[in-house]
Amino acid sequence: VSASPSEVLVRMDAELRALWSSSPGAPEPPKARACTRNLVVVAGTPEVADRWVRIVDDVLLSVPARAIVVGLDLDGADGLDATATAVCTPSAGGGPAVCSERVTLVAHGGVCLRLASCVRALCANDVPTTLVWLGRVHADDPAFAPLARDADRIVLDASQGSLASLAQMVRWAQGTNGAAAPSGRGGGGVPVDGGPGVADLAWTRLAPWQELCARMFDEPRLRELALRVSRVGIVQASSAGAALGSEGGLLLGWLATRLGWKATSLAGKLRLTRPHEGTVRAQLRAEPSPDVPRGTLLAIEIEAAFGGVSLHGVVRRDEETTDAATWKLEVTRGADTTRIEQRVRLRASEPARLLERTLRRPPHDLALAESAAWADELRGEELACG
Amino acid sequence: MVFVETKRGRRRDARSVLQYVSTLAAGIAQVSAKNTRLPLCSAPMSTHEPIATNPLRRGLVEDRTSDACAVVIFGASGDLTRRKLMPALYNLAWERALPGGFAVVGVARRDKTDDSFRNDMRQAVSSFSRRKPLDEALWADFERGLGYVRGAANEPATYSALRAHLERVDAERGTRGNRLFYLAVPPSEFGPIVDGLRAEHLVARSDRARADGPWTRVVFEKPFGHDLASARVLNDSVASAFDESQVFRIDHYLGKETVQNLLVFRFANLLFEPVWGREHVDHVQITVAEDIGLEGRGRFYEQTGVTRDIVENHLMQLLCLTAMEPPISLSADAVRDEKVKVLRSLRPMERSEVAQSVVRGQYGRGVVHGEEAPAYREEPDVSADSRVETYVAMRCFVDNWRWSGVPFYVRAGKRLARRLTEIAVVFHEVPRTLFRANSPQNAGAQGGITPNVLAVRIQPDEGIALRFISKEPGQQTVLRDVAMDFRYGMAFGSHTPEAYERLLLDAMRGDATLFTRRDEVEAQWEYIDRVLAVWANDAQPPPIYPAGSWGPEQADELLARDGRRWRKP
Repeated sequence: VSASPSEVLVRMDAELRALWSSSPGAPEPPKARACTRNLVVVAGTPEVADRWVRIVDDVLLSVPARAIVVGLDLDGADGLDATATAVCTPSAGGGPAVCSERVTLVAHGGVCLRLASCVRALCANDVPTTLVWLGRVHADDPAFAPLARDADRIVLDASQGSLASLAQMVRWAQGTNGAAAPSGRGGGGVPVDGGPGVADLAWTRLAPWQELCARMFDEPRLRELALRVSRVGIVQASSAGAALGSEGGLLLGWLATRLGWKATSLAGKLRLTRPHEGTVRAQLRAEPSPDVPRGTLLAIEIEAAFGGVSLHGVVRRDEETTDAATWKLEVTRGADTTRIEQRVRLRASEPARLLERTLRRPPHDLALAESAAWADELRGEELACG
Repeated sequence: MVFVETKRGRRRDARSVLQYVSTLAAGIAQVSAKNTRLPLCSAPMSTHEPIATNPLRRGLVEDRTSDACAVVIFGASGDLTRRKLMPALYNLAWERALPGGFAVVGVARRDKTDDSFRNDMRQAVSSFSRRKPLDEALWADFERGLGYVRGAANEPATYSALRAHLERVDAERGTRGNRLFYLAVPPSEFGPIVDGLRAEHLVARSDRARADGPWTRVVFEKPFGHDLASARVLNDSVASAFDESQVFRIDHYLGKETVQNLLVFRFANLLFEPVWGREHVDHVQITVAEDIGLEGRGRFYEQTGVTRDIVENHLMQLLCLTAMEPPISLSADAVRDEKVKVLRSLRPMERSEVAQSVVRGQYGRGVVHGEEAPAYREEPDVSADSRVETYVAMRCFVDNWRWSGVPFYVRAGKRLARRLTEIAVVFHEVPRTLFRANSPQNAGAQGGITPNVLAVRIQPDEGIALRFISKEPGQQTVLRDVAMDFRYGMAFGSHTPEAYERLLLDAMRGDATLFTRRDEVEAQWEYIDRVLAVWANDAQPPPIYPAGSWGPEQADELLARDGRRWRKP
């Protein structure tokens, strides 16, 4: 379909209805429509959107929704292309197939700036809307801002965009940076109902790492050591000299905000101070790892000591099975040393599963807000791989 | 069209509602801290103050794990261990829900080595885990924590060997002296095992008193007793070694997602609560129907029957969750307090009442799913003149303010037409109809207006359906019975954890909300005992119903006398 946006939208509406109308002459297998949300996925180019169509179809098998996958073609002549289809899962028990709807849009030229009105016309009523924005984003972006105003939840990916844009979006959503907020929602740029939730795919990828770091201090006698961390080492997939990536930055921000570390400078170098006394040595190391994207977290190492007890914990991603890791904890009390080692799954990092998990997380995540803000403040004194 | 989440609506299970509130509260505290330039971290100001919680656990939302611990399974060579427990533990490992310090110790009479036990469990997990195929690397790590102790429940040597094994496990696996004893054995072995554990000092007294010290918990499989007297004896025996806070009586129905969702459905939605009572509800039907027969459990079933096997526990729990008042919190005791109130409100069944309000039956030959099925008395290990009931239907009353006069019709049976567990809340008819009957057959039935029904399907096709009346499109006003149907599988996909995964992890975490408390069990038996006592003195055999039917005719008459009928779902 290629015509004026309004004609295209009318046709899309008819096509969506036609998916569910039964024609008397042609018996079809029964199918049931399910929709728990609008899932609007916006990519910077039609090619990226095309790649995400398969990912979104995979997500729809477990998160029934009306999906609208949009590719932006900023340089093209004004226009809108669209297709609609049903994405169905056969019922295990022999009942009707369960179907979601997926609309694929390519917005050309000036239509990119009017995209929100097109998307709004295609959204299902009375269900929440999640906006997945692939790539860099700024709250004032005229393509992004109206879509964000309509969304109940915004999903970003700091590893594709930047920590700065993530931190900015979190601030906007919290209503603490009204000047930068898209105008309109709730008036004066301050979001109503606390604003949309902001989620991040890189943050979701970190969840297993956070849990594995936390379990180093689960034993009641080791909790005190959480406040006595003396060294944290982060290994990321990159070349030497690269700056700390989004995953590493968010993980460091998470540790810092949980444990009360402050980032200060000493002779121009980053210095982390603990809340009461002492400092934390932060070390970043780069390792080439062709099997994972650049900037991917490969390992974290934590050392702490207090009252005659020392702790050394390591989580290291497997080289061969990159969705698995080995967790090691070594605790020394006087002459006694206890070592525990466990192989764990890091959960699938493929985009469909990652997005699915992100959609299932609580919509508002204070830890993400705090960690992103902390990591964003490091920009002036970035850690570089030694 | 099915919309299962409203705009701004957020899905949450009962526990996550509470966690969410806690998270919000923590968030508010942090925002306050930020505004007053205090450190964000809730670090203690004095280094001598012990830290109550791990600061890195604050705000973690995706994962639930337990303390380091050893799970000791008595009955390790049994079917439950192979089919349910070990696959559930493996799935928890797959989900990264097991702690770093973790071990499983199997205890049984059979002669096995650690290696042969591991091989058996590997086969069991390969066959019965919902995660297929087996993750070899994960299994290799998991099986390093598996060990086996040979011994009988009544031999003191079993417990000394177990003690030595656990001490070794503590040192090698970092399980820190925390133990979860899982008794997957017949009730006759509960007492000897409790005695053996106590004698060998394997029970740390109470984990309430020593919050951070090594803890001991014990899980009992149903049936918990044979009647009220035996349940009390068992409870007394357990109480001699364990504090009630350490005891987890498992009813796997409570681990099912849809059963847990009953609390959320009732107490997180304002819509239904105002109509949830005698003003609007005509009656409630609860059905636990199985289409299978005994599956080799003839000897067990001859001792129990459906009343002890299903009604006393699963069905009573479903009734409680349907009828209970909102608890003051979601703490284990707050929820269980409300369930106990329901059980205590059940109108006691007087001797003369049993014949009027209870129907039992036993399946005869019939056809189930197109296959000929034998009669109960033709099943292996069943007496040829057995009087054991395989079906029971009861009319119960909850004599409290909310439910006064509303009958709860409950039924459970084997070899019924299909497998189904559901709770159906049937509302009153409209007081006066404005519409004419669709057809002469409907002329007497409020002009064809059947009552609204809210049906909660526990299994299969887990979900909730609301039946109501709608106008058929057309020139005439023709009424049609339609249903708004919410299905879990459609809304949330099919990756639902098994009940045992949830319950095992809860027990390891010390959360007893989904387990039955002593007073609950005894109140359940107290109610059921009156029925069993009447049957014990009744020489009449139970009526026979054909396998593949919905039970004996007398069950239909039970409702027909009240002007009602069973749903045929």
